[in-house]
Amino acid sequence: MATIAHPPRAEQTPSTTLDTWSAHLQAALSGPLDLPPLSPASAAIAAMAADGNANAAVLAQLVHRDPTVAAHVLRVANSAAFAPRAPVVTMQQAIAWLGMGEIQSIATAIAVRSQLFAGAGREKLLNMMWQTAIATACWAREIARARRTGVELAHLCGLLHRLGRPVVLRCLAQISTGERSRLTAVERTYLIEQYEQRAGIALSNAWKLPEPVSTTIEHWRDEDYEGPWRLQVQQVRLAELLAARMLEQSLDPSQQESLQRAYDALNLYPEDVEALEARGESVQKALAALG
Amino acid sequence: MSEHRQFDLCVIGAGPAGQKAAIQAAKAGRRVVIVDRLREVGGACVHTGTIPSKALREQALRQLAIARTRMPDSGADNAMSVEMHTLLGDVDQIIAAHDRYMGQQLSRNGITCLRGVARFIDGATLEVRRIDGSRYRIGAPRFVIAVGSRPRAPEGIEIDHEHVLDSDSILSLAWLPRSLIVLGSGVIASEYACMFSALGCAVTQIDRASRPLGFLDAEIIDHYLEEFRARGAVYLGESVCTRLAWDGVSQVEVTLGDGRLLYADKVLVALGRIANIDGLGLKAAGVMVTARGHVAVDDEFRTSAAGIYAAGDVIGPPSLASAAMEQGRIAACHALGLLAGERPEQIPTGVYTIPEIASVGLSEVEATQRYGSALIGRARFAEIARGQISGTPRGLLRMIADPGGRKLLGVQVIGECAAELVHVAQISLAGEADVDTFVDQVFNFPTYAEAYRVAALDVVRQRRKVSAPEVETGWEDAIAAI
Repeated sequence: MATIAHPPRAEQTPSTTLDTWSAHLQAALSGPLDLPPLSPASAAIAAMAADGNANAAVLAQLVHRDPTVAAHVLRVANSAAFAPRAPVVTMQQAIAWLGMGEIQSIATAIAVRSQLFAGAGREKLLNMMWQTAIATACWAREIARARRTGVELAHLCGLLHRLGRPVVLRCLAQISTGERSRLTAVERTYLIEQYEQRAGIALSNAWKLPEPVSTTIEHWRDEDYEGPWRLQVQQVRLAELLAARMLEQSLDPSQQESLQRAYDALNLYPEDVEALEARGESVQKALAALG
Repeated sequence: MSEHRQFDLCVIGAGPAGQKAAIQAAKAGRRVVIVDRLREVGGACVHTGTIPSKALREQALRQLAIARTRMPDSGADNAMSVEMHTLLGDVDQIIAAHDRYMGQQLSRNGITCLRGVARFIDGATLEVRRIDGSRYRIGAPRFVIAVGSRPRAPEGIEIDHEHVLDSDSILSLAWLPRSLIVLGSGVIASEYACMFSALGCAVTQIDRASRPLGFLDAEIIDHYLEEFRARGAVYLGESVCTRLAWDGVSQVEVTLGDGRLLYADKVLVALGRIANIDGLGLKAAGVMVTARGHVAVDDEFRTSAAGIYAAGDVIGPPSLASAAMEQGRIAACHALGLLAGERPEQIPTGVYTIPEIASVGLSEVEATQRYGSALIGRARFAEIARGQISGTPRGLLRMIADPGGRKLLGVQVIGECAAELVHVAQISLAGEADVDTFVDQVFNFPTYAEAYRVAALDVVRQRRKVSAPEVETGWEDAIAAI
């Protein structure tokens, strides 16, 4: 379930199993991190990447909208092999820097790897995570456009703001507890939400993801955040709520209040909100295309 | 019955004009309210215009300074490798500090600040709609409209704020593009074209006008274009963009009227600004609007409706923050029957291109129209020790004098510190100083201000040619030196 509601606190779920998994998870997150398998849309990217005559524009669009590919492309573009003189920040910049040929290679490599590591039984949860990421990114674009601010950065921050969730999920899959203990769905959700921010920050630091992205990962839940990239953080918070409402068809009362505060923080008046919400159809179409 | 509050003066808009109008009235002991749709104070000047753009310009100047001292083989390719936020530095903090400072100043003066969308019900009543949709009314015998302006979106050009940007969204770009096409030839277009070219971006500026910054004298524009082109930037005059299209990968395709195709990472559309008067209910208040969509005002900033004044960008050019502040102050004074003091005849103009340009008083064209001809005294920064020391010898100060070469009519400066230097001329014009005053004075050495004396001596040299020889004791050596 895509939600920004606060996860249950540890003392509310006293469980030896949970404590054990939690300890393992903390250890796992202290070591080298890797990204989880791909989104469902990656199959389309992989197929297209393998086609020498692929439409570059469509491939670029798909790369723009897939969190895993986006993160990998950013990592490669920022790696020593390509030696940018300063961080590569956006997909457009990365594509221009690496060239479409390199992007195709990256997409293919990731697709092959994803087949090796595809998580049996986790597809539904992963799919939900990708849907949230894409929907948030699409809404962040629309919010930025409505406010006449840069769209690219809003999209990227929205796409990657909860990158920590699949990272935690991957860690959980790789942990060998040795106790034959199994997590319930509720416990797993709890652990993901408890550790996603830490995992996201760790990955962001390890991969040197752009500062606006790491700041958003760290602060998007904080309504009182006043530091650098405040606008991006506020836009993503609102986008996440709109995405949650779109995917779940409703919001609980506390989320509804958060939504009003998010509109308020961005100076969005009822007519602005109406215009923004009218863009929901195009967000739905983007989701359907990538689903 | 809806909530109703009464004030002596109601100001709509919290930008430079609105702030000064409100503070002026509050200092006179009046009950003042400012209504703005944003929670932040300062308007476009602080949040999307003057302050952030000048922060970027400072970085561009640093890049140029570094380039001047760089070893030949150390590489100078900056584009594609710079995050915009590193260029904008601590602009978020600067804006936040300015917002706090302005908020405190308004509060200290007992001004009530309300957030909401304003609409005139009639000439004495304003309805304010809060962000939650609730409404209340404000009654006041006097109003100042200072709602500012926003970038104009020309018909047929879709500004998506991703590939095609306006002057608001250009500053929230994630990274410095390798190439930029700028549509427009005015101040904003030229300022951004200069900044991005100085930062290493390949810039092409396109406009219908044959040359940019058409309100300046030709010699200043020549100088400006020479430096612009020296950085590799291109100005395409007499050209019209007929189509913009994103190629879906990395470039925007720009089609010109003659069929030429140009490509760039990003396009900036800077084809003017429009007043923020939508939904303001000006008709209900009896406020007339000009054909260009600005609020029509007289010399005292009175609109066509009794008791309603307007100031700042909403009344049209010159659209300078400095002018807006003064307009707001004068409007408030007139509205409340206060003495506005002597009104400055000369307001300087600063154009923050690279190099920067400033002017005050009459241009050569205006002086020629009024006096039949004009004498132009020139001082090139290359002739000034400070220009050589600072490594910026490519400036020019032009002193415009009457045909007799005595009366100072105006000054134009292009080059380092132009926007500061012009204030010497502003005070001189206000004090009706003549050309000889600059020759008689001793300036600090080495300073750019010495250019005034050099230019004045150049005027003196010319007037000796056009009039009967005079005895101008003590200046012979100085004239010979120039």
